[in-house]
Amino acid sequence: MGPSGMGLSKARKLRAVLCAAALAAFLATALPVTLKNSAQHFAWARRNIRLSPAEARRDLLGAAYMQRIEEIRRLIPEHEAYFLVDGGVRGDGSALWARYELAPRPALLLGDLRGKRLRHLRWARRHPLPWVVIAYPPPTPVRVLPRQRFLAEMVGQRTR
Amino acid sequence: MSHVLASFLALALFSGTGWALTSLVPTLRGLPGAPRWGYGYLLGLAWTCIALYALSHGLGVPLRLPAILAVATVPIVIALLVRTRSPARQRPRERSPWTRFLFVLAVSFAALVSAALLADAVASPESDWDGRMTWTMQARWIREAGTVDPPVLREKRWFVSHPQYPVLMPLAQVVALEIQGQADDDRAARPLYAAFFPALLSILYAACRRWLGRRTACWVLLVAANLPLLSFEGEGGARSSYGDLPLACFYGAGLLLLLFRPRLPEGLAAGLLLAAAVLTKNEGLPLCLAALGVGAWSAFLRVRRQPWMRAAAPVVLAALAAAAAIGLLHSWRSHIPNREDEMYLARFSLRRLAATFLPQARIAIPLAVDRMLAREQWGLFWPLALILAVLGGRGLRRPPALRLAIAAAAPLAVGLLAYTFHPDPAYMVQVTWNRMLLHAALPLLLLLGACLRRARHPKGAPAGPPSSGRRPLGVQISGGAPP
Repeated sequence: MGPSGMGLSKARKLRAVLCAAALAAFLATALPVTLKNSAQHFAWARRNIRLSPAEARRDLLGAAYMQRIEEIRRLIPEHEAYFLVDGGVRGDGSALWARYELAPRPALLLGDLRGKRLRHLRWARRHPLPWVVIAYPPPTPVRVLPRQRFLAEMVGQRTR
Repeated sequence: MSHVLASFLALALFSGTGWALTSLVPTLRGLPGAPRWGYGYLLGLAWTCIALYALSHGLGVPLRLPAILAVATVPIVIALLVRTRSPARQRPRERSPWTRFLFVLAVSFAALVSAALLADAVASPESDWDGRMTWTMQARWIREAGTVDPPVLREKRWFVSHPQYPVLMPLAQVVALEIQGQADDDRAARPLYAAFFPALLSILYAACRRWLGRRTACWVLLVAANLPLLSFEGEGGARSSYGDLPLACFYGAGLLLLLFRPRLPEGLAAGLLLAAAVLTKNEGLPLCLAALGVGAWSAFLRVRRQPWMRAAAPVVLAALAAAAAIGLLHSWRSHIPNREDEMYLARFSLRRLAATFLPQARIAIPLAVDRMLAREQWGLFWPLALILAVLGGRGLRRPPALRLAIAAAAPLAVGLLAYTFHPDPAYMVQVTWNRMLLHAALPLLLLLGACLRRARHPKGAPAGPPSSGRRPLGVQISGGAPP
């Protein structure tokens, strides 16, 4: 702590010592974590730096998932919209992940498949968008199907 | 590998523009390299993106490379024409070997963490929740449409999360993507977020050194560099593409400029930073108002020694800049139907506040404490802060500690208010409380420094530099006692 506390009373000295001890305890636990985190981030950087955008995302989301995304990108032109259905479980962000990968194509969300109810199924009847994308949490690949087939499947499920 | 070059070109563009802007502000011009870069990066990003926001929304200027370069070069041209000279910097006082060691240790850790974050950011794709859900998503739509008003935001049927969130940071991403020239590599924009970490640390160190002395500043820098919440945290830290660290920087830096005896250029720079806070996140608006309130209070304290016009003018200028940003945000939002959003303001009512505040706070506060004790985000920061507050709490009597405390409390008050109007406060605390604390990072860490200094030197040791003469972001603390 330096020599500035030499003339202090015992209580003040104790305060300075406690302060040093608190800082030492914080740093003793924090510095190894910082070093570990830094090493981990450098390792990720070394692994990913040479990857192309597609390879990097394949590494992140899984090869099958990204392969399906690439297929949909070829199927639906960049300026064309599509219907999106959330096929995952609550809070897993399936629809968000698929929407991100398919951007800038705008998505019209029909709802989720949980409980086999789609909030906005009527939109699929009203809007003439040709494709429906059903999103699952990565690495489970998303599904893509023509609107009519999707509607038929939905009607079939209801009647069963 | 082109994305690596593009990333650094975008960083260089904002830094260059910001460096030119700092040359027009006397207290920033006199700062050493790193803190001056820190302020410069924030100012450069704020200037470029606010101008693009206004030009695109107001005049329909396409968000393409020519517009970006034109906007970014304006401050550089002005700085070249004005040709200000940096004040001669005082030779630093001889440091003791212990202080020198501490300085090297703190800077080494700050540099190590910053380098690790930047390396990962240029190499690894976007993987965090809000980045994919909101910020980078908005950037892609905006870039594709070439405007801040893309049809996907304006037409209600499209699935957009938080369409009314302000888009300053997505615009910064658009700048990086435009420089890179391709849309599907989000790695080009990630370093823009990572760079906020060294910017925050350098600003913190400069303010702390001037207020509390070099040794305390080194300790505070060392603590901040080792706080995972600021750096490696995937939800809000520099590793993520969330708007929280940028907001913490804009808010904290704007506040500091208003706190330390500003003149007109400092007031304008503070206004630019607070305007950026307003356009970065929803929380930016109340935080901007809090910073202006604290700035007005500081100006009031200065009235005893300065003509009131001179004391008030910088805050008025900052308030005008912030008001312009609020106007821009309101105009931009007015065309965007809100959906997929918590809509706190729509739920706000005084009656509801009175009825639900205590029950909701009773749920939220224990969970908030639990979040603060999470070792992955905080390490032992809060136990350390508690011990230092007990040992050196009298350091908080030193002006402008009270104003800093109010500034640090503002984000937490915003959080508590939001939890009052949310149907599931327990969930909201889990996902947002640490980010609210992050918004308060700069004033909070300065207060920690004040306690630390007092605990280390219980008698009120010699620390800060003398209060005579104008110093860059200095210790001429309005209404404050000399250190």
